[in-house]
Amino acid sequence: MESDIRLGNQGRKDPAFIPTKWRMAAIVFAGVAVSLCGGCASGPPNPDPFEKTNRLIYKFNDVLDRFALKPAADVYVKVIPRPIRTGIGNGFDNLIYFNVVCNDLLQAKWGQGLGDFGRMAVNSTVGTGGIFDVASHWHLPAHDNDLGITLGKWGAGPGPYLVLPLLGPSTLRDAPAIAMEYAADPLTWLYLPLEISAPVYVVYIVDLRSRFDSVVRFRNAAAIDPYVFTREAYLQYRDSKIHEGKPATEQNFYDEDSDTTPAPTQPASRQGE
Amino acid sequence: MLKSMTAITVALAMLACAIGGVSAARAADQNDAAPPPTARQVMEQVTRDVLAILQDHNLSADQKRAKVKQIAYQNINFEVMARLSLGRFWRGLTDAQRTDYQTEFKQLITNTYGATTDSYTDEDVKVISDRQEQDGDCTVTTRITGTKDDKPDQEVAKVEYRLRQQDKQWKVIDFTIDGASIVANYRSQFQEVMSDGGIDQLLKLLRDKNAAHEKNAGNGK
Repeated sequence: MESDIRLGNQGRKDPAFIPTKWRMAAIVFAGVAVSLCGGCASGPPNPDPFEKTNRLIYKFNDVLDRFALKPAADVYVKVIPRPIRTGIGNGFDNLIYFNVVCNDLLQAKWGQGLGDFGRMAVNSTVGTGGIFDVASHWHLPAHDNDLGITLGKWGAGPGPYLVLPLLGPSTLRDAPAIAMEYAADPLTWLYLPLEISAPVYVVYIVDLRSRFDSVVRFRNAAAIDPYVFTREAYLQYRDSKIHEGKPATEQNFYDEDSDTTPAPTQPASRQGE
Repeated sequence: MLKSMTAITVALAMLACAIGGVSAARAADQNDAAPPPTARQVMEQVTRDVLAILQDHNLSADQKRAKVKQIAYQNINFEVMARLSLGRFWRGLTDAQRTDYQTEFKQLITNTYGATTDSYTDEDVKVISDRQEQDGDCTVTTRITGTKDDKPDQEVAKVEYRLRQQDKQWKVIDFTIDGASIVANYRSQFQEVMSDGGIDQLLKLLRDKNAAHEKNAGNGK
């Protein structure tokens, strides 16, 4: 290759000139391609390549939460008695539960899918529109499932970590789940007039936020950097959902002498400390 | 997703508590020359003892917190936990920095779970399995069930405790709540801080965090 470059530089009239240029372009292109895609092949890729933008959106969400959502959720908890809140929460859970059923089926979990369909049917009817969670008492427990988990089980990696405006932590793999959730939500297809649907969605969000409150408080107590705390918790949690609890920590994670990361040395003995 | 995240909090409260109970067990064990308890037995005893503290209506929230803290101090290996949380940066610290860091880290963990003991609402905890890790550690899995959204016996969270044996005592070196390890989380947080501003920055953040907690606790009373 070096000789080619030399050829190209000295001999303008050399017929090899143009091909060399092309060849170099090809090499540069290949280099870029490798470095872009290389992340998947060699070494751990940076899980958060858009950190700068993500942090901005995180901040935006945080301010919105502090001045709108959190106060609203506090009022909600104060004003609405707990049993009624439970009913509201159950109702929304049931509304969006079709999404869980669909993803059970996409993952070929036929038994669970059937159970979840039964759960939805029971709660929608006997449970008066999902307000009473009768199914849980009938041994039809709730499951957690979505398109992100499905894609993960199909082999998709998480891709870059994303913080979405209003919606919070996600990844390239998990983001489409939001669209599917929306599509599988009967509310979407009822075409309710705005003066009905808007308050419904507001209550939905406020209710979610109220259920989420203890987690936020824990994060605030524990985190040195809440942004990173949230990201790590999210990525690990999602990963464990996909691998169903199998630990995903790297091999030397618990090795006190592995300070020389990433070199995977043989497990050093701890006794000598 | 959100529901499970909520579970994390409860789980944390529980784990904080759960760790607590071991000490009593150990004290009893050391009286006779019985073999030292296995990691699983340690965690089983812990769970029992901590639930007893939390369910004791004669204790105030402060008393509960103090009891749990006392037990936790004897059963978490804060030194190892702190070191693992710092990862590769540990090696570059001076002895003084290491001491400072470990002190602040211990305080941070204490504050965090101390605050969460208050949110206990009659959850039940059961040890459901244990497994030996390749490096000699032992991971004990517990299942927390409780009344979630007014439904009884719902799984709130799965918490895994990783225990390491030192001087014949099993002590907790990491908690994994619904798949998320607290040490892994801190390692990522600390890594970013260390890369930006080094150990001085990290120590400052830890001190500020702990000081802020103290101030809030003071105001809360």
